[in-house]
Amino acid sequence: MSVLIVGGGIAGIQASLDLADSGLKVYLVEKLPVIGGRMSQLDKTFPTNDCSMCILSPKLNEVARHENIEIISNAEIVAVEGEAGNFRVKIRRNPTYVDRSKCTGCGVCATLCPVNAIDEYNEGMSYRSAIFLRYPQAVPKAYVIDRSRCVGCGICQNVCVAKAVDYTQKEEIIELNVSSIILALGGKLFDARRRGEYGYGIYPNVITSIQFERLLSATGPYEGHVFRSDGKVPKKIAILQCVGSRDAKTNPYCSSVCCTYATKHAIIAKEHIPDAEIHIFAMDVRTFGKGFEEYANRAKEEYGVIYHKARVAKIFQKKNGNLIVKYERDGKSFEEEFDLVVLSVGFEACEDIRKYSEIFGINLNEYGFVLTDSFSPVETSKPGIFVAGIACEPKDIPESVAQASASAAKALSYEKERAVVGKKEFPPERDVIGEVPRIGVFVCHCGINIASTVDVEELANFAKTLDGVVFSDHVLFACSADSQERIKKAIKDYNLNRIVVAACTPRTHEPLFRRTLMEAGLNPYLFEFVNIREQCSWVHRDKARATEKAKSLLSAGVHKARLLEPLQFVEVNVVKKALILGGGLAGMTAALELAKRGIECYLVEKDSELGGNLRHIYYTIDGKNPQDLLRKLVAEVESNDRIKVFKNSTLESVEGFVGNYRSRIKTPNGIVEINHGAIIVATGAREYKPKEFGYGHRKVITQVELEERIGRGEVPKSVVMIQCVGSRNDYRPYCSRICCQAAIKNALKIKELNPEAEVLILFRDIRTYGFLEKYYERASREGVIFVHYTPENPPVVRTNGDEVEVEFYDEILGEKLISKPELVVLSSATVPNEDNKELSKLLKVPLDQNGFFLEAHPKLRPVDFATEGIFLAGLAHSPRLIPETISLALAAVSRAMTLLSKDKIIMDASKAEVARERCDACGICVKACPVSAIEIAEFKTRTGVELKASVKKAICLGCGICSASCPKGAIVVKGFTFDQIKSALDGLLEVSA
Amino acid sequence: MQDQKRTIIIDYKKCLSCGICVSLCPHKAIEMVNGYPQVTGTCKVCGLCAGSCITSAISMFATKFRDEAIIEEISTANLISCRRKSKEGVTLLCISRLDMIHLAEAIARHGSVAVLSCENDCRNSPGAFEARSKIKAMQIALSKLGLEKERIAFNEEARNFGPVSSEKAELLKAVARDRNVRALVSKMRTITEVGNVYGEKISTEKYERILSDAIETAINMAKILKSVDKEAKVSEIAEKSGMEKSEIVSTIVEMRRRGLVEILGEDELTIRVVK
Repeated sequence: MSVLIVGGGIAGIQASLDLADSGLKVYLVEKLPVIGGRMSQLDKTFPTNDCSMCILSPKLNEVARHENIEIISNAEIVAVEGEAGNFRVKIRRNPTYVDRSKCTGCGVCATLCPVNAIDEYNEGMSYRSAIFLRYPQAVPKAYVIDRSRCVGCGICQNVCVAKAVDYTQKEEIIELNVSSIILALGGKLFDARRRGEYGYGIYPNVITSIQFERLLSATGPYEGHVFRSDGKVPKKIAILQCVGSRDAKTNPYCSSVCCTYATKHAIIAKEHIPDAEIHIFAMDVRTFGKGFEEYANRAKEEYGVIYHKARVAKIFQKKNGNLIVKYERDGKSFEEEFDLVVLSVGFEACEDIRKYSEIFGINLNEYGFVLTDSFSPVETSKPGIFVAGIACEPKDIPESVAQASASAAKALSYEKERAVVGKKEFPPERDVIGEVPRIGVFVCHCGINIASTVDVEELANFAKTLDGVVFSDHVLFACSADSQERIKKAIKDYNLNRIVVAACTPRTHEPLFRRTLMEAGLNPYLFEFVNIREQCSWVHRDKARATEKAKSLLSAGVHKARLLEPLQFVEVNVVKKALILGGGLAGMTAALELAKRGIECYLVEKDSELGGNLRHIYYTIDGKNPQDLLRKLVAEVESNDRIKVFKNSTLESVEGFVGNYRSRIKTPNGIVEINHGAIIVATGAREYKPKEFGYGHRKVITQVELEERIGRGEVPKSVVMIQCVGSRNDYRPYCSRICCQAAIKNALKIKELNPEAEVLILFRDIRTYGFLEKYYERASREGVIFVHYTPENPPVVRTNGDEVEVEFYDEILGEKLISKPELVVLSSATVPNEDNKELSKLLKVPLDQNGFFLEAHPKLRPVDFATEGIFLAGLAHSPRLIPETISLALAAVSRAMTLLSKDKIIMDASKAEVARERCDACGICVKACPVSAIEIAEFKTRTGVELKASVKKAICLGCGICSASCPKGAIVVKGFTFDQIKSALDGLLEVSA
Repeated sequence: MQDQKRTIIIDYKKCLSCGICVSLCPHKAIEMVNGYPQVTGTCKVCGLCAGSCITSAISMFATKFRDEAIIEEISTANLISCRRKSKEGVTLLCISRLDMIHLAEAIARHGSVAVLSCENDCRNSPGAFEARSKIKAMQIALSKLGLEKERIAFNEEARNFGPVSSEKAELLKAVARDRNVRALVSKMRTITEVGNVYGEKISTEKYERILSDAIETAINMAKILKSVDKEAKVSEIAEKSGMEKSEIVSTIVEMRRRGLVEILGEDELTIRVVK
């Protein structure tokens, strides 16, 4: 059995990889001809300004290469029958008229196609041909014919060297049996023409945020230069928020991502145009995610971006194409002129959502997104069908990725037996030790990518002049299937024992060629890759000089190849048990899910009771009962045979490495030693005890304390709430994310229990992101008063005996007001646990600057640590709500299962190795190693015991820092030894001279 | 260059293997061999392949019917005819040989041109009909340049128009040489009357719209290239060409895709022409 994933965006990709890595067969269905989704259109990603394509592309290639994943693109789901555990799915694959298995992506067809079409990838700002590849790095890398534009002239078929064009292709119906389905349908962007007052589609210099993203991108219409429609560089740019979001006429909900992406656009635009002036118009700036508030602060302080707390009423165009922006602030009207206006459009449910809801038999919510429950955030209304990403609510990339992993964890539970897929047998390895190097060289044309700039024939002939080369050839596409056969044949016919391919990058193609060597009975490490595309043809124009450079590079490769040795993959056994630190919502959720997959768990809780912060939550904003959830989880955890709970316990020490940890747990009954393969950190966070605003006075309490009182039935008659207490300040720059929601939740509860009660909320920005916006709107309607304050002019709380009063400035009235409520409630920050520091040292995983745990990558690896085998969940990651905490916990389970589902893990063979006779045990390498893979160990000799450095191969990443730091040259990385590198340099210089 | 049995000459350096010559040849005399066209059958030297080749890679063995000679002859008369039809003007072995370049040259010299063909009676049928597509395309180009489309016609009345400006003549020549326009023109009759690779016909109106877009792009590209020496800003191009800036910018985007220009620019979009 297998899993169907619908949607090939980042969520679908992540879910596919998790499940495939856990040993399941995955069918990934994508509507477009290529996967990559919205993320493939992004230039940079917030808040790190990482290049979007650079982090996405390796994932795309991983999907393309994975033997457990089948991509069914240009396809749609027609019908679904059956139920969880056994769905029958009918898929229609529309013809692309190009045979994907033959197309090499060379692009000659597109350059000769006589028909132009609007390029959707560049959002209508450039053209493409009727036969096209959506974007250069697309997967599958196969051109497709857009039948709506193709005139059928036949040129592409004639010019295609690979004979891949096939006009007879017909639509195909594919029927599959799958045990579960994940919907990662994505969303659609709001059509800005529906907000006519902004003139989008009429004024050429009013563009959407996704168009601006394309303008900023190097693969955009102007290669990353920012120009207006008349070719001018815009020097004054207005970015308008909430276009199609938080808008009663279009979409009432908040799209969650726009404030932060607008901040990104402003920063990147400033990097492109340093003297530009950039204004962002927003009702509230909602930079609520991890690191987002700091990002917006940088935009203001370092880049001089100006934020206006205002909504724009109308835009007029001047004759010169400039735009007059009319906006209102504090009840007054303003006008300002700009060169360019960018509309930050929000998300809507995906185009086919209605159709899909019928096909899959799932319910949608009031906004047309897939309906989920806040206690089961990735489950749809139909068992066995899960949802991830924007399909169920607007969200950013890390939240989508986490949900994708979470839905993968859920999908795993429907797999009765694990399909053993793709276990390939290779012929026995030929022993080449002692043989004279017999090197085969293959030079790739890469269609015209290399051959148009480098004389490949000359290069192949040059290779023959190098020592050790007994065979040399040039091929149109070294990566094509027939080229692999050619390489294998040459290995056999010429008895080759080293292979050098001069083509593109090892990042994408090395595994392919290594595999080819294995199929030919050679050790995969007898292969050397020379990059003459990215490092030569793509960056040079002069053919003669580019060819000379290619010769140098090839000479270096051949020199190194002479010294290559066979290396063996490192294999380690996996202990199929997990240690979970923290027995709150995240920890308990993770333990239960792992136990369902047959994994034994050790759940360590420092408190005397399970439950963590969930114990203090009595109701949710959407009317659910968290105490029921708590009781259910605790009962299930405590009665589960596979879960061993240690209360009043802490982690004392941990040793070992991925798949093989050995930990000591300090329990009230003494130290317990356990073995386990993975660790999940779910140690939570806590509410900040304020030092400000008179906290400590009987009438000044926190939101959690208020909730407990209301839970006991004590409802205040008048309350003043103050937001951002202890958050978004110099000490704690981050936004605590949950407090706006908490304030509104408690305000609504007070109003529900006593409609006469007076509730005043003093806020900086109300951050009720996503569908939470509904409750903000409801609170306003029910008479909760919201008054804005700035950090420069904060409210003042005065206590006088038993009395308390709050003085605050009302911007609209322009005067100071005083309120004397029954209670002052502080929306206090969520702060990391103090013991995070110690734990981070024990586990050797980092904390961020705020003291929360730092994930491996803020975008694409939200629950992984850089150290393999350790995962992160819940509030230990960052402040978050119940559904988000559950998502993260499930995500950690899915990531852990990619490891724990395996009996053995196979690792790259390029690892550090110590030449003991030269090692003085000075310990420099031990300190230099970034992953603590080296220790000083005792070795027995004939004369006694001596100390030497020793590498734990399972941990070593092969980075080579140790090698570079060793004063004696006693430690080397296999595959990159001193001799090999020196020889490569000799080869390089030999030709250059 | 290769002499194909003293009939046609194919310049394999220019040939892109598009296969149009193979698909058009009325006598099935050309075939793709190892990815390139070769005369394998009986060529009757009608010249349809030469007049339709998208890169002008095909020429005639007989020097009289090469483009250089025909263009030379056009300077003396604005009548191009099948020699069975008329002894006057520029006489071709068959009107199949007609090239849009000839029409553009004739307009440049005389302001108008008449074409006489055997129509149904063509020995190299449907060669004579292919000439219609070429005339249609050049008529569209004339209209786009604000000139009367009747300046080209299948009758001698066309000969009565006065001269056109050399600027417009140059633009017409650019259209006639544009690879995409030539490809669309060469396949026009087949696709609208017989059927395309999918066995479907495209309506003449729709096809002419697509062709018209390609012609417009070709004209705009030529206008821009004419206004740029090595490098130029959009505002400079606008001043020289009289084009709208937005039209210049969108054309530049397409020129960049085709590798004709590089994009530069500090304060304004600037292009550099790629040699």
